[in-house]
Amino acid sequence: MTETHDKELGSALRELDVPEHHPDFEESLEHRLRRRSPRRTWALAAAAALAAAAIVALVMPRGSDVASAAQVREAVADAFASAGRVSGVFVNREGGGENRWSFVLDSSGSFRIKGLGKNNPTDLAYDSKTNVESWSDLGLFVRRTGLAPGWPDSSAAGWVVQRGLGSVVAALAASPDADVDEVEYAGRAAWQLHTPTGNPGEERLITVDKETGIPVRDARLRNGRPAGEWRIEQLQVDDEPAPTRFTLQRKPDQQPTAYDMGFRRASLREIAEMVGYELPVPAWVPDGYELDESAVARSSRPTGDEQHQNPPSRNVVSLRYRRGLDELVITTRSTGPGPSRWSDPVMGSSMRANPPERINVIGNPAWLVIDPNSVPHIWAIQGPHVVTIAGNLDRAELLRVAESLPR
Amino acid sequence: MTEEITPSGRLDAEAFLELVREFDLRHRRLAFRLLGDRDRMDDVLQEAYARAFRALPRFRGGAAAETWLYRIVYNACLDDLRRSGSRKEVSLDEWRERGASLDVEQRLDLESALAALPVELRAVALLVDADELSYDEAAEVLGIPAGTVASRLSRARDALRGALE
Repeated sequence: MTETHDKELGSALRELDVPEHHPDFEESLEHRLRRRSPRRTWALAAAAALAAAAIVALVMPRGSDVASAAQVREAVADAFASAGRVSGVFVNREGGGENRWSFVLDSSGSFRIKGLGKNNPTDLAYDSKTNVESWSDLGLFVRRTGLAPGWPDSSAAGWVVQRGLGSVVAALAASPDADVDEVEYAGRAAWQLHTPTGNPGEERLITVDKETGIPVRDARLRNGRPAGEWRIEQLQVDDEPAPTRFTLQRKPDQQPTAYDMGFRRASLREIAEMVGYELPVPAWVPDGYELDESAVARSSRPTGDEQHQNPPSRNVVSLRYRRGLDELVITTRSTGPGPSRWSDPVMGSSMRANPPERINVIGNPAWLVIDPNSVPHIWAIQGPHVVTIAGNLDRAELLRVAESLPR
Repeated sequence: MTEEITPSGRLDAEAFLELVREFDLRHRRLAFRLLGDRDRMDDVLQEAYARAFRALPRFRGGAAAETWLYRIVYNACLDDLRRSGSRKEVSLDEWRERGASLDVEQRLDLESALAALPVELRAVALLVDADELSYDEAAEVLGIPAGTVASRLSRARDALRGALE
């Protein structure tokens, strides 16, 4: 292939007018960049690297640009940290059938998930301002209030988040050495990783959009054959939170049902007065996380799974820290009379692919769980309380948060 | 959630803005000629630069910074065209400004010919002939093989050369 440049045409094209930006363009851009700079130290280094690369690229041939699994995980974490809104169409394929939902996730925690097609009438909305989740499905209209800030209690994390994007985060955390391929997916550059599911003969093929850092496909392979997948189509990532309404109105012919999950938002001081013990406020959280919700419940639903249900949760304190779409949730609850009856509140043992790691946190035995089937977390019995720390953090970050809790 | 701006935060944005300024004219040319509207050009470049800033930590220098930024700008233009459903609708009104060595008739003919091209052909002509990217670089920006760049370029030139004669 002979490469040519049409100099006359090029010159003519360059002569055509190119408008200047509007006068406030740069000021507006600068404001936007500074507002969305969640990992400043890292971004500084990367900006310097970019500037250097611009120079180096002039004199050096290009090398391989294949990322490691850890770098992909960083990219996903950074995307979740900086996105104001993620929207698109979520497609789930299981057993030959396919269901589709349009969705919007907002960095305030609000979301809307609406079934597409005649056979998918589900409409789910959560408004983080009011802490109300509404669910409409044919003749049913369910309203849940008093929701917990997050794991392991009943929160409003829609299953798109939990089962979709969240599960990819967990899988990436559990597979730091996974092979990464550079692929093209839906016409865009992407990374593809093979990770184990924990089931014999099964693996996951995770695809992450390279430009946005958002996972766009998670396919399960059983003995090398497709066994189900979800994927995101029409992905859109925006800086600004969604203007979407996150409340649903009950239709006249729908039967209303209401549940109160028992949590009440309150200030740290109010909560401390109510429960009478020192709150699990960490002295350290990763850069960019900020406390965005504190809540308390006199009692809430038991944690655990069908095989092992934990004792009733009493005097529960739940603190949620947020960074974009990412959440870190720290909880404490009373053990009651039988501390030995407690098992992992965040993840049922039947789901476990990796054994939990026994560790020590501020002098107490604890368990660190990095598993493809659960959000990364630590749980421990500390005196009369069960403590949990759960979020999209790596091992070192989880440990550091745990070590910074009050003794 | 509010974020306190630290000295390092300022430096991050400033370092990035320096890079943006270096390539901005080319990005404006591409965006304006693809979108045909100054307001849309500004909106899309705001979005593209914000995306690039978010993606900075993942830029590892494997590709040239220029093509990396170009690709983000091009994808943002395509996203905007898809959203508005107007991949081929380009108004000539805003394009008709002053030219230099081209006479008025040639300039209008060239603008008309460029506007009439499909987005994919318009982009390849702007990248290779106006901005002098190599075929490999243009291929990287457009996400297509270099051979496709060559064939699209040939078709674009056929359409545009007529306007200069």
